[in-house]
Amino acid sequence: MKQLIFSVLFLFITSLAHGQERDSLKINFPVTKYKLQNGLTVLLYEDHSVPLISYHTWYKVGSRDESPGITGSAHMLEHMMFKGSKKYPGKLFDRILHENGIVNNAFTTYDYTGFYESLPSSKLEMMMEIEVDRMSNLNLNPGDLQSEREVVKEERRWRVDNNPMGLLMETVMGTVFKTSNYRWPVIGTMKDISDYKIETLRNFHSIYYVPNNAVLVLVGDFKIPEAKRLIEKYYGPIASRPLPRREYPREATQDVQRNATVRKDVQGISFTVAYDGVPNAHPDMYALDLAANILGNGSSSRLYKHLVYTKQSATSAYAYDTTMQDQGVFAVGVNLKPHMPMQESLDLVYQEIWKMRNKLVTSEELMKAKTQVMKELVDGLATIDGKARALAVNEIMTGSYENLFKDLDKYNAVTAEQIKDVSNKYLNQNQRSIVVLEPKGKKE
Amino acid sequence: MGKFQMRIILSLLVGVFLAGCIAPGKKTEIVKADKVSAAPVVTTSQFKLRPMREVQLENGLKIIFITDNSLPRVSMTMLVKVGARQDPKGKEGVNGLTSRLLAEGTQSKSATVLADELGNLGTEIGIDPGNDFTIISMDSLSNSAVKLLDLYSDIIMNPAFLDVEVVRTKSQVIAQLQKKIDNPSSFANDAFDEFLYKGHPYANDIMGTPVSIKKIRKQDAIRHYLNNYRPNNAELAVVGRFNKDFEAKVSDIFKKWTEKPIKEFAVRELKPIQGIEVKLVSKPGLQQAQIRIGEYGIRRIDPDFLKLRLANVALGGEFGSRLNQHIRDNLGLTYSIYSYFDSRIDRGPFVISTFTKNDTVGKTVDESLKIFTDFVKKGITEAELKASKEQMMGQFPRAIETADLLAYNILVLNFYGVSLSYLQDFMKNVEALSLSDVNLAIQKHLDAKNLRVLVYADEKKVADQLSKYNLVIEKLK
Repeated sequence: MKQLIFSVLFLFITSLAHGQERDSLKINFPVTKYKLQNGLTVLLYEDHSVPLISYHTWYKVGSRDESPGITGSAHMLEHMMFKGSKKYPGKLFDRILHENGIVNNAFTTYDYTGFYESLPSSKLEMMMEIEVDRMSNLNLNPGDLQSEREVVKEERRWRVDNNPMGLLMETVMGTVFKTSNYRWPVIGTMKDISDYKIETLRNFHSIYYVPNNAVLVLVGDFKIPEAKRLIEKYYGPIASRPLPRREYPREATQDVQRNATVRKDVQGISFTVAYDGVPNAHPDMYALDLAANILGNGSSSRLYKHLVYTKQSATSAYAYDTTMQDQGVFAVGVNLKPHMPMQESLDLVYQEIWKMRNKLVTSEELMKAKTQVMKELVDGLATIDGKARALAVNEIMTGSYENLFKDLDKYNAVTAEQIKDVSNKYLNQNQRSIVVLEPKGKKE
Repeated sequence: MGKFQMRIILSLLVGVFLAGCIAPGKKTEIVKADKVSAAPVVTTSQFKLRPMREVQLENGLKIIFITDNSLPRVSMTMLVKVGARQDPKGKEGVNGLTSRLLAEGTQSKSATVLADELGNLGTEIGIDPGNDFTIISMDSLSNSAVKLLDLYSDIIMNPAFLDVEVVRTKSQVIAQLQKKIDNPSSFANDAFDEFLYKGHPYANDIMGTPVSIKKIRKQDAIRHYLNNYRPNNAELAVVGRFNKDFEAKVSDIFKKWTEKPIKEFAVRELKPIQGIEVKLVSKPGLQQAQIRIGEYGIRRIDPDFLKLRLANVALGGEFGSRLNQHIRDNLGLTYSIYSYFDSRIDRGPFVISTFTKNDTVGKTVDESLKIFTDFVKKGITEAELKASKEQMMGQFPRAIETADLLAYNILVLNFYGVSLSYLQDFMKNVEALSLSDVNLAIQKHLDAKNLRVLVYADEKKVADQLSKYNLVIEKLK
């Protein structure tokens, strides 16, 4: 009988002397990290809380590696990774996973593509053989591309073309970025989706789906020596290949406000005020994250109180600081009630941004924001899959999973002055974009 | 927010809860005088569930304590045994509105003070009114557990229902209901409920309609609260890192909550479905059609629950299922197709859910019906039985991976009168299912000739593709 042993992370909380002061939290758990000779980065963490393994394979390739005319091809390739490989052709991949109690999925972002499975612990070797085969011997048949292309078109209609909020998000990115590769959507344009050639995808696969461009993360019910043996056996023989020089066009400095309007059959206006922000792990990211939190995270945030609670003009208001590998976006979003005009609410957003730039946030607000960040981190580590994702995203975006454990200190070190400074530096009128989604037929 | 933007969505919860097995209902033994009883450790053939302790207060509130030291956090989840199902005719949404008002101020704290104090704990209150029951949850880091308890109990036991907050919340709910149409997927879900359950409370949006919300007065919400949000109509789970003193404090605070006799609510009859009824809800300009195909499923306490859950894995529960393999993989008609049973107090829906471009609506409906008809007529195969068992048993531990998930499952099982053997014997019961058990259950409960189909699309683009069906068209502006 296998016993469930609950993992106690090496995670502790220490209180400061005064009850009123915030407690500091340190998070750490012992991860085994190493590289195979072929360059594959491996992260292993045993967690026997459930008899399952969370298996993540992330490749450092995303939509920023595309070019106009083939936008969305990283995402298309992600779909094609489920269409069969040399040893597991056709539908065998789906069938084997289905028959072995394994669930799986994948995602593509601007910077990376991730594949993940939740598998019973006894299936590790089988899963590894399958993952290795599709890393090195993907079939990529033109016939499969034909039908999967239609699936992706439906995905685009569902996410964007028939989804007003999805269209607003896509327009924000296309407005903020004019020269960098973040200007096109991860899913690609409908025209490009219709035109993909199988050679383009083969080329993408052969360049980027190599061990030296991948991070393998296993968290769960396995023994590290055995996992290492299997990884060497299956991944070891794959040859590394030189990666192309990764040079991406920089975003030109914005010196004038940009405006964009999308008209759809919607009940009320939604608008976003967006700014060119900072890349992931940039020293200013921590203060900007907290600024976004204070402005628009939850019902105690400044924007919610003004727009939803006091003015009652909006159904929701939020702010976010998204950081990609080379660039970032800081944005405030407002969804107005039906028939509510925009200008007054937009002015209120400007006022709040002005306050962030000119006045210090209160110590209570700062403390609250730090607590929210801390709690979000803790909540994200509740499952083996959550731990695997947290390790993978830190490794692939910063080059070291250990930043997961260092970030709390960096957030805790942020001062009210720094929040004011970064607000001044990045939230300028010249650097902003106003993107509006408004009802069709609305009078000008 | 930088790296922290990645949130883990535990969508698995409902799916695996639905995957659960049914055992005969067993009433909880009531321990008087707040006596604490240590529930036995529940074991499965694979692993042990976390130990838990139960307390039954004199006012009827049952509290389950589950210790989990793996993370420095504490959570509280309460299931109140009232949902939209009990909303009176003409005042649909009264439970949804009442539950929302709990967060809008207590007798000692205004809505904004409450929001600030919750924010200081890094949390928000989660209020989730459903068809059958309402969940109220909150969590914090464990160093704030006492503060969490104070706020949580205050919200539940001392809501203020101030005029200004009632007016403001009603306006907010009405605006949200008006904007519902902007999201085609969720709009189609609601339109399908309305079509399938016409005349039954499951037809209604949990939050009501703009018209019904306007009719609800402050006194309606107060009365609804006083009649239903009572300790003898609720169950609380406390989970995380805490000690015995904290457990005692929880009991001390909630013992002040006053009980009241609760009105029984009868199960309502459902009108039979006559043939394949197709309704097209038309909105000009839609670029994609949402499709729902379904019928009445089963009650949560139906003894065939587990058999049908397994059958559904084969039909449309996973990537490897029939619907996904044929409609998505072979034909490229959609990005997503799945089926599910949402089993409730009354017969909840069985639904096939998908979407496709305007040009292929007829083909998608036809092909989905073909798969479903074959499934009902012939049942599943031995290979599908085996694979579905592997799926259910293999992924079952995720349903109770965290103490919060375990607590939620226990609350819901208790609500529906399902024994904890649901969790205890899950593997054994799944393993024991035979092909004939499953196929007999399919034939008993599902009917491919009497179905309702809802299509949400632009009539001009799709109506002719559905002309062979008995089509009813509803035009939106």
